[in-house]
Amino acid sequence: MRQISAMIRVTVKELLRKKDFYVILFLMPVFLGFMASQSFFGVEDSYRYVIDMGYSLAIFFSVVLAVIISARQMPSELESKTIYPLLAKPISRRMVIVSKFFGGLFASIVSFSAFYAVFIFFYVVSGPVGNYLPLVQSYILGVLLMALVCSLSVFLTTFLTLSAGVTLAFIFYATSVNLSSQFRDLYVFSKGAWAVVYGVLYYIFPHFEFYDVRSRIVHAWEPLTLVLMCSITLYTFLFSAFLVTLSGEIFRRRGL
Amino acid sequence: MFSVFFLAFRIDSEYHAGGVSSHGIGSFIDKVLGETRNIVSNIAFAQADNYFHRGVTLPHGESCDQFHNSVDANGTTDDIHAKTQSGSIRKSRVDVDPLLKISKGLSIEAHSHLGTEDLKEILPWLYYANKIDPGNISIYTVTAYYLADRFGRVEEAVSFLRKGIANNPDSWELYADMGTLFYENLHDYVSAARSLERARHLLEASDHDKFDERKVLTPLAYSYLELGEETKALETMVRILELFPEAETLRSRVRDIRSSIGSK
Repeated sequence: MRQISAMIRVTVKELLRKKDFYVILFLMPVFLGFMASQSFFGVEDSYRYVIDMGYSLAIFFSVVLAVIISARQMPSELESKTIYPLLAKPISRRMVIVSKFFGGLFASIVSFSAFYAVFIFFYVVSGPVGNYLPLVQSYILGVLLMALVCSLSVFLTTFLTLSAGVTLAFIFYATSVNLSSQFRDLYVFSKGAWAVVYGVLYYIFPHFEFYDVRSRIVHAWEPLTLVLMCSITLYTFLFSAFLVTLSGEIFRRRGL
Repeated sequence: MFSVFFLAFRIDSEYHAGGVSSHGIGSFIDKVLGETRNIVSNIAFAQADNYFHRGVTLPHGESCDQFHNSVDANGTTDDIHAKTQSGSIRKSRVDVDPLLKISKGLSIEAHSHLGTEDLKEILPWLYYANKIDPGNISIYTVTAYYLADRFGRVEEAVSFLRKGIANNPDSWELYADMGTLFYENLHDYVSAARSLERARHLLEASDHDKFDERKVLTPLAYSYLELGEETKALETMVRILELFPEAETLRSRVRDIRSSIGSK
């Protein structure tokens, strides 16, 4: 436990030392402020697109940082050979992977919380404030999204190079967010052997689209049910745990 | 190195001299997006439609009415569910599979439009869609409709259409919409007739159907009537009757005008 908390502290410090985080944190309110001040065809007070952009930017930048932070964990240790003194300590290889995952996850949650705070500020300032529950749910789902992104990034970089792992993580994310309904339809409307093939692919592929509640926030729809929130939480826990366990196993078998 | 730079500059200048917008944000978007700007513009345009439906994207090619009719007794409009009802897949898979249940639970199960107060929310997307591709005609016509008819900003609509005509001088749709605005909203029948005559001229030179022609000719005929040019109005109405012989109201109007001309 002490090793994990030490690893988390180091990773969060690493995030706070990164300029990218501060640049995004500075640019995001500037960009949203500019958008909020715009009027279109002489009609003022359009606020939904500001909220939409705020939410999208918070999620997008958080995912980018989460991928970069988590993916760098193992390759940087291997490249600088600091992995050897780490392995010399009384800590199992599986625990090293778990520590790296939690380090990346906490740093990602810190950055996501900061970006989300900027979004909340513009949500409150821009327009009529509606139901707060979708905002709370969206924050929880954002944290869960960070867990899934971090576990995927750590998993990919246990057997790929840093650049390949980062690229593949982004491809997985973009594909899942943009083509999820097509994947779902392939699975739902296929028959026979194809149904099995598409079903397996549907389960293997991470579902990043489960965490996107933008429409509910922007267009003031009702919040998600408790059962649905619990289902998504359980899905995230199981998927992340599977990826981290698999990463630990790959790392354990790796000759170092 | 210098010659490559010089050549690039020459190509850029020649390209812009060919009529593509050459300054400001338009030029920047041209350079960044190139020919894909039409796709990006259509995405922004589709986003305006998505906002109009409060974040619910209609299934491809489906109209509001078709989508609304797919609502079952439980108020469900989810596309998986709608297709399940038609029996094209086994319903059990959607109701039993845990991931599909999550996916179904996340989709918004309703169909509604933005209220009058909130319609302004689609304007930013129309604005950016136009900035990205000033050659997209649909954006001008849809935006002008909302500005004039839903926001009462007729002057803004006219000025936006003027901008559209400046960017797309061969578009009969823009002249037709401009003429209709002059006729219906500003009651400026001289300008209406001028714009609609131009629209008619451009329409004749392009592919069109009889509905397109009626869209131009109807306000043109009534603009002529308002200007007291009954002969021109009669000719235009007769042309509409040739296209739509079943238009009985128009036929009786033509009869009235003929007798009016005859009595003079």
